[in-house]
Amino acid sequence: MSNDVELLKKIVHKDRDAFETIYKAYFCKLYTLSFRYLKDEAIAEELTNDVFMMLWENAGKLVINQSLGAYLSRSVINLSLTHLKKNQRLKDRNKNYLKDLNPADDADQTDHATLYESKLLMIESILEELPPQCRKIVLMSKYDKMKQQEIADQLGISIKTVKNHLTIAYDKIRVALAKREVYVLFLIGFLFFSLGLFVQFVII
Amino acid sequence: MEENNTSRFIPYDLIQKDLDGVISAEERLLLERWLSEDVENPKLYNEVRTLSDDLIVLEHYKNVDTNSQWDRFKQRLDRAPATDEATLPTPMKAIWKPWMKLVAAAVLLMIGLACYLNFDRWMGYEVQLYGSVEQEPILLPDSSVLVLHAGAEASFNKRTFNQQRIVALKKGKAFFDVKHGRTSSFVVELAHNYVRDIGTSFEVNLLAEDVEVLVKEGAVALSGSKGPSAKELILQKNEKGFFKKETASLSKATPDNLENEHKVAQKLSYTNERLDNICFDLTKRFQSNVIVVGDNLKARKLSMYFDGQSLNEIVQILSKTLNVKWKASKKGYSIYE
Repeated sequence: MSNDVELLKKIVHKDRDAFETIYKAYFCKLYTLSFRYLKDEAIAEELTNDVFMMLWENAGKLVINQSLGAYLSRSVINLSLTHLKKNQRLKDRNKNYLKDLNPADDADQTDHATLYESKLLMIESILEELPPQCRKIVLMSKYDKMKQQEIADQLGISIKTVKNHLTIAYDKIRVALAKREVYVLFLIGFLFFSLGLFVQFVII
Repeated sequence: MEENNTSRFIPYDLIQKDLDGVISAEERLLLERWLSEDVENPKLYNEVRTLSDDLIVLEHYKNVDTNSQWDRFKQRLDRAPATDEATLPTPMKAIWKPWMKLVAAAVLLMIGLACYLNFDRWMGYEVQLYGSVEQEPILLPDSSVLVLHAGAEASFNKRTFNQQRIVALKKGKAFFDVKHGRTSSFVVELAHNYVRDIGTSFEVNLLAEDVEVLVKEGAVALSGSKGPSAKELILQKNEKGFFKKETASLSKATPDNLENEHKVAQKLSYTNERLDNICFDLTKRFQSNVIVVGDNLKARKLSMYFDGQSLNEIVQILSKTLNVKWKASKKGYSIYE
């Protein structure tokens, strides 16, 4: 993170190497974040590149009061939401995301791209821990867009077994993600508790 | 549909079919019935929908080739018009990281608390008083008089004194002549208890961790602890109250006892003498009972020399020397293990 500050200073002076480092560090997660809203690879790619282009061209004029990750995340989200608003078809398809984020909230310190990336990586690791047959059924269902009956036919199992495997997979992922949220909350609570004790100790 | 290891039943297969747009009319009816069964179910539906979307996003995330993206972006970068470096304002504003704000907030909080706790001291409202050999009278803001003996220390708050007449006696011996006609009572705060004036002049003596209060005029209340529910011992003129920190006990000596107690020993010398013999001798000399409880204690021998101490002081010295307890009552003194 502290390295980002140095790289940004170099980008102000049009240092391509520094820009490449930033691009390669953030492109994947920012593109994924944009794709999450738009569900369109080409547009997500274009909007993400627009954000990087803006960074390259206006680095000297930007006033960034948060981490670079948080700033770029907010930029990608705002561009994606603006695009969604212009495109009614996409807007209807993704309306459940629109209500979750306020595009005007520029003071948001959260690095949404990194957070979302960590969530995806967690889902990936849970998928890898699933029994092979269960994982295979989830991948066929989600990635190959196969219907439950088609999966049953291809694997030579009953449709009930397919349903059971999907239920197991979804349940495991849901429970693991919920545990992660509890852990993060506990961690935050613990940090504040420690801070309180520290303050008390210093005063006394 | 099978229930899994979660406490709440979720029809994942129906939700998945609904999301894929392949749900039949009959299955939709079942799904809608489940959604209307509980207010939590629509939330669970959205949760599964988000998860289903995340699985799709995950596939794209894994297929991103950042290097080839960069190669393509480079071409776009080359086409971008060059900007004159000299016209760019530098340096960039320093970036505030979230943890820096947290640390800054913690530091401000600590400074704020320190200011709050030390406000009176730093603003000069807390007046520190030190006793001297001259024992000069100190006039308090309410016209009460305080005399501190040499080595004594006390303090009071100039800002709040008119509302709460509190003097904190930290150590040593002090005499208080309280000015009356005020609505608030006059309180001497001590380490473990307090002395509340009822109308009077009195003397407070801090002996190590114990407290002695001698009433010269009027009456005072000597407490056994702090707080509004503290037990109080009322002392009248010429009575002497004792507070022992170890047992948090209160006791008092009557004027008769005091008369004896005020006597001081001339020169007393005991060499390898049994404790009960010493106490017998003291009883005779001061005409106040000094009883030793326990045969073992009675048999203990010690060599002591006293010159000018009161009976109370002698009993305390004996107790300290033998590391035993003592107490004063109407009948006299008891020394016990």
